[in-house]
Amino acid sequence: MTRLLVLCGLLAALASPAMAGGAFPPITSQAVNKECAECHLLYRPQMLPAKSWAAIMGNLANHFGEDASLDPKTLAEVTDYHMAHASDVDQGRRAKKFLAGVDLNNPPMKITDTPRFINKHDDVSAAIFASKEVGSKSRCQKCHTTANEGDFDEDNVVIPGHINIFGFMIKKFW
Amino acid sequence: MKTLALTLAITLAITLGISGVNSAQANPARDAIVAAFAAQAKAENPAFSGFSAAAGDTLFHSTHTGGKPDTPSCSTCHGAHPQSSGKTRAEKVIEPMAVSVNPTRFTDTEKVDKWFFRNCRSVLGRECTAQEKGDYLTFMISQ
Repeated sequence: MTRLLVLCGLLAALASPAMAGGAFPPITSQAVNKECAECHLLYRPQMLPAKSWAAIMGNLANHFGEDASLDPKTLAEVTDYHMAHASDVDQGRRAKKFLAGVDLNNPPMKITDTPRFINKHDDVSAAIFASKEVGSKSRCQKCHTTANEGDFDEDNVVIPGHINIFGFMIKKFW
Repeated sequence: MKTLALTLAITLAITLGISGVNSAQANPARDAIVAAFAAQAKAENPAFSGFSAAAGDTLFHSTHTGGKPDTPSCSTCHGAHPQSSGKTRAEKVIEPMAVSVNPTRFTDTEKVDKWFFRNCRSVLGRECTAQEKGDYLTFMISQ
């Protein structure tokens, strides 16, 4: 009986990450963790294909409105890590989901332009993204409460001014 | 006797406290960074006559036009008050720049060089002169 319980426990432990969606794999490059997170949330390399990262890392002097230049050694490390874990290189489930529907001949230059981002947010109004509390599509952590841990699961979404009841966003009227 | 011991303890604590503040303000690594900018400023301009906290104040608070449109001023991200923290455009907290509240500021040459390079180009559209960098540091050290 004890053995059976242990077995059930193990199965549950193995099954739950897949069922719950769970987080992206942790970023193991110290340079990526430090340099990228100094200015913004750690976006995941699995969210864009290699061509996109090559273009972004090749133009850090004009990085979404700012100069984010790195010294050559750090730049190489950050670039290599993104190329090795890009959506069309990484073999993980999350990479494949972010690759689906992407036109590799015309790769997106923003995560917010990927088919997956667009599909997943088609029920979020422009007004919410533009609201004072959110302000921009790039600020994942404003609604994805566990984004800093690489977990973008819908269960952990709370849109400011709303409450999450079993995955449904209810606008607060009180 | 007890009172004497207490008085001594308080005096010692105050002395240590004051010297602690002093050593936080005058940091050898930071002094060396300022000295290096002074040497460079002299090389760039033989008439160089020292750094000015007032000029650093103006540089920090002014709205500039040569840089990227989203970052017209240092204070766009750092906030108007160097003693307070700021925010990057992507909402990351930037620790205060004023040395009095953030004593580790400007003690790491690589970090100082990296951010002057990036942020001068973002805000001014060019690299800063050694005079500007020294003025900026002098202002923040005075804050």
